[in-house]
Amino acid sequence: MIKRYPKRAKLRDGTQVSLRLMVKKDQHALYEFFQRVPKEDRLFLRDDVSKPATIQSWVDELDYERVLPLLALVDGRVVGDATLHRRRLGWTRHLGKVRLVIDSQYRQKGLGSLLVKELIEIGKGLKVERLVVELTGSQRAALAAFRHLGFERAAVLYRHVKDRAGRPQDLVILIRDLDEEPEPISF
Amino acid sequence: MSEKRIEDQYPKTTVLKDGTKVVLKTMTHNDQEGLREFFARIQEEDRKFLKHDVSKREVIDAWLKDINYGRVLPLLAEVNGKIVGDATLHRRSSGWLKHVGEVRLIVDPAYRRKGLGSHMLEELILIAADAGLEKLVAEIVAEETAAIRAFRRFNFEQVAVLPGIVKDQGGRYQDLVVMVLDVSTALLPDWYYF
Repeated sequence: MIKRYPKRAKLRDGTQVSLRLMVKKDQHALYEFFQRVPKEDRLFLRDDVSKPATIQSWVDELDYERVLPLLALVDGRVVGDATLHRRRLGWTRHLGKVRLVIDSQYRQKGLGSLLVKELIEIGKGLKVERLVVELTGSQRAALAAFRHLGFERAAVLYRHVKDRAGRPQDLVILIRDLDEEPEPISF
Repeated sequence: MSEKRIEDQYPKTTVLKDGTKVVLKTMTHNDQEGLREFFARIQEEDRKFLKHDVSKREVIDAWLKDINYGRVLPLLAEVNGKIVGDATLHRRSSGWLKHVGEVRLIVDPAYRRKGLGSHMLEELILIAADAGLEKLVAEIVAEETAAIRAFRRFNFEQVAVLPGIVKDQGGRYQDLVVMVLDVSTALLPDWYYF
């Protein structure tokens, strides 16, 4: 699985990106990446990435078995971060949770889909049975992109989370089985 | 948690319906052996419905290593120094779920139907209210109908069912029921029985 990387890929507009797993020396580049991420997007992250200590703890606790971070870089700069979260024990040990953050300047170029497709392949290789992603009902583009990649809506928790303005938003839980290939979606 | 330090509010003593005196306290590093014995008494049939495999020593060790009441508040119930219940309140310090807490609860089989679980849940709801949490979430395996009924009595509502999403300790796929309580509408009676 780790042998897959580093890997080069081309985005829809021709931009060359390199994909590889995060290593400890990415700390500074990762911090700068999250500083560039719009504040409303930072909200969807589990941790407070505005604090250098948060990134520090990721680096200190780097453990691919638990959190596998896949980075997309352009000219050495991080432009996307997709993570696969797994638990070793417990009733969710067969699941992988996906989190995805893309630099706002690199959206709508297919980078998010590229990273999620990689995580799907990684997940299969790791014998993860299903991938889970959580989004708000207002993240229309991301919802459509995940649906297109074979994720299906499993539940909606009505007005469950809050956006930066403190407004309640629906939490949408999407799931994709990794042991069966979904029917292609036609438009 | 907020102004009131949680450590200062415990231990507390409460009396169950059958007269048993119970001490409620926050978990400390000294509880390692007591917790192991407690979980050993939970039957396999029950253990498989828990989020974590508590028969594994490393699971309990990890909990004790990371004690941080602001993130996970573990409340224990003791009878004569023996742990008979474990209720935890899980919180996030930032992000879109900052206003939401998650509760998990397990009671010694010999101390069920005496109101202990309800007592502990009531404590967690009060702590959550003090801490300014707006919602509490409980994730329960669908087959655990008694637990679902008990949470419902506090006004937890079933908001979603995730079919076959969890894999129990026996390797079987189970539906997961997600229940949510709006803390401001919690029903807090003096007494309810699990």
